[in-house]
Amino acid sequence: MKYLEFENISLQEQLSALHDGELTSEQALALVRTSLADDGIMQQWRSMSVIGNVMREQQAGSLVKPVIATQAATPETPVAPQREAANDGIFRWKMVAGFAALAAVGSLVWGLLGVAGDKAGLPQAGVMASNQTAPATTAPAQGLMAVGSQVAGQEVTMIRDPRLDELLAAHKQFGGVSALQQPAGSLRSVSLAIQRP
Amino acid sequence: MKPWQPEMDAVTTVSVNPAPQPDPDQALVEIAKAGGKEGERAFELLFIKYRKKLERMISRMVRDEGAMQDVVQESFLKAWRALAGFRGESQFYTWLYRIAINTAKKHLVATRKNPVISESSLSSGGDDEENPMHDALMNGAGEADTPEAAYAAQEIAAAVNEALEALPEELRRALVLREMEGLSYEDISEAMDCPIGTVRSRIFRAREAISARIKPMLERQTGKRW
Repeated sequence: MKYLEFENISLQEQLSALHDGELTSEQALALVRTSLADDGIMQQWRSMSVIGNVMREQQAGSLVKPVIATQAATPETPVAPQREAANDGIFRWKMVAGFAALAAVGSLVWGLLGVAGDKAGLPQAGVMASNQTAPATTAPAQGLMAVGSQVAGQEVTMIRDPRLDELLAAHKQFGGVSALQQPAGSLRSVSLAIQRP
Repeated sequence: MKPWQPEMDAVTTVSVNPAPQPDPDQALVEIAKAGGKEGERAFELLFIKYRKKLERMISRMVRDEGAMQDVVQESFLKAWRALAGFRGESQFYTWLYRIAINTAKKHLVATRKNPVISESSLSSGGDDEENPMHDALMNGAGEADTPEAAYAAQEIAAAVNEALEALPEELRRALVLREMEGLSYEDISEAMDCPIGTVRSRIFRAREAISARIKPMLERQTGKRW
């Protein structure tokens, strides 16, 4: 801080500088000593404090209000359209290539899963497929038939519990109607027919 | 009347120095620490300078007008007693502010514990009446914020605004940069591109012109709100 020379300065001006902290300790002490004998100095000091307080008190309102008023007065401008980036064309092609690659991978995975699903298909599917008189498509039908023939022994075991056969034999109900609205004999013969080859 | 508003360009064109400002009260604090009559007078000057600012701050914590005045008085008394221990590591007002905040907190705790206790009894210690600074601080302070005082304060504020508007541009700008922006004379001289002596003179003349306008009101009003 650069302190000022006060040789030719009035007492009031020195007091103003003291209020702003622009006096050295020695200069301030001299002024304070003078103030002990001069009540006018205290009155002036009070007045300077009042001015500062009033100005600072109104500062917040006076500085904020114009900003708010300016914002309120400014009409809402439409958002300007974004300029096209220099690499937009490249990015578009990269997007297309990415989607194409994704589609290719997706179809490949779909195909692989389909084959795997056919190979590990449920036995019932094989049985049902074998019952079809006219397969919808040639390839899946052949697969089902093949699966059905390969695991035919197990299928029979799963569908027809031997204990159920024993139960049916004990009660002589081979010729009855099952819950499938089909003769039980027919079901049995189909199962056995698959089992036999 | 519409309060005076600073011109935005006058304020925004000045870059505020982010470096910590030197304590503007250092000289007065040193004199006050030395004690004696000069010390008491120096502290009285600090009291006049910061009383209103502290009142405004404390009134946000302590709603009761009388209690707020008590807290402010007690804060200044504590500061006076502890001034010898003030090492000047922060600005005087920052130190005073912390004292006032702690005093207000203690007051609020005490009021919650014992709401019957009187506000003034909280602030008046046993030996305060024997303290010369107590008399100095109590003299002219602690008046209730009467409607008359509030009106006088409004009147003074309006007069300050009027006087500020009537000032020549260079005087007004110098005072605004000092009082509102808190710039030092050196910074203002850079901002206004003039010698420091001119800055000091402009600020003084601005204050003098405004003081002349509000002097009769200050003498007339008894509330001493400011």
